[in-house]
Amino acid sequence: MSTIFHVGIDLGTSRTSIATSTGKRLTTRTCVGYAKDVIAQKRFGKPFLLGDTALDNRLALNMVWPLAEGVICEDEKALEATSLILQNIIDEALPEKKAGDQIYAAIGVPAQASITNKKAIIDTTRSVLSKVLIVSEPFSVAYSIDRFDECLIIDIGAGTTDLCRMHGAMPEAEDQTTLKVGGNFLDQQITQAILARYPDVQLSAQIIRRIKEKYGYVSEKSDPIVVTLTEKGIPKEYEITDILRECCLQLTDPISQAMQQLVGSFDPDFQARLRQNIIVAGGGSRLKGIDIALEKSLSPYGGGEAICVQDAEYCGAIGALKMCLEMPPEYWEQL
Amino acid sequence: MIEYGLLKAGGGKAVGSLLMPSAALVIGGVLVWQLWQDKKAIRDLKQTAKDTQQLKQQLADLQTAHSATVAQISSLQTGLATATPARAISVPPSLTTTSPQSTSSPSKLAMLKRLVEDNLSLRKNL
Repeated sequence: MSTIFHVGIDLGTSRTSIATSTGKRLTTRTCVGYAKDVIAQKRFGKPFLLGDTALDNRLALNMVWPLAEGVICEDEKALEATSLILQNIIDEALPEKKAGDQIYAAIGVPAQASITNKKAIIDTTRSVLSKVLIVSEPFSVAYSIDRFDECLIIDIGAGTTDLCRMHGAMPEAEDQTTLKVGGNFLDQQITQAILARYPDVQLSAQIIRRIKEKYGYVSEKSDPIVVTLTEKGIPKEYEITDILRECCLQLTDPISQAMQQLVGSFDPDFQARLRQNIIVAGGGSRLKGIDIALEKSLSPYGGGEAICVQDAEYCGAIGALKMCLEMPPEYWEQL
Repeated sequence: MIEYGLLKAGGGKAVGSLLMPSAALVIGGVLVWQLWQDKKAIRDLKQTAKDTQQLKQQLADLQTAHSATVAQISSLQTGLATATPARAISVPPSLTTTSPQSTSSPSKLAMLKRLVEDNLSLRKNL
């Protein structure tokens, strides 16, 4: 008799996370590295590497990040790469899966992903998954923490930022906004700002990501941030305290505006309740002081209260898994 | 002898009368100089006292500011220690979940039903 496994997947631009009904959870970089030449292929013993392993060996690989701006790029290579990533993470998370076993999955996608993007995900996963449920990522976050009453979910990912107001029912299109700014946008801003002040420093995407993840902040005060970078190979210390805050504010400002718009267009009787229940998720929720900055931007509206989810990395995947597990079997049958 | 005595006394007087005004002048000069020096010393002393007073005030201000900063840091530390966990929403750990259990909550069922319908309409367009 075949076993049915349930999995919740957060297919993100930067990271893909999975939570399974067997209690496992894994996360990997959403990237595939294809060997640049036969020498590289011989070295690795296979034509491609996945996730963090690919990133560690990227000098010998052509890197493909298939989810630009949070959705699958519409080209063959991106579709193939997405399929490889999903296949690999499922194999790793469910080593006990045998031939004939089935996998029912809920996959979180950006709130306003187009029908074409959703179709692309269903097509890509057809060979890997038995049944697929496409869900809006902020709804997965809400499901993970059981918050369906008046609250505003802000999911700051690498490619996009999703905002979704919950009001006790499935959110409609007007309840959701997807901004094309996220962690990757912030990386670009930090790179440009550092190079503008220190034109000769040597930077890479990994260095910028490390700086952002370790020091990123939007609070009003911070200890001096001094990082060691190289100039023609010679390491030197560079002060980037102000640069970093200005860049981070370029990410939080549009989020604040979108939040104000969603609050301002909500039923006036419930606006205050919405303002008092702002929930920040996704990798961007790790920016120091982001909750306070969002609260502050609501001052003209009468103030608000924002809180960050604790488990930003797996929150979406756990919500999607919870949805899978709570879905009646007859609902699954329809898919 | 008398003449010599007279001569000596007269000479002495003559010398005395010649030297006295000079001596008085020198002594007067010394006294004036001493007085001027004393006045300068008093002025310097007054200035030093004034500077000391100013420094004392600055030190007191710094001490007040320092105490306020220490109190502020302490309050922030306490706030941080207590507020951080309260400001974060915990996600239930998935590791304990092992088997599917359909929800009986009507609102959740309605939402899941709607979700399935959306997914079905998506498939119709495939």
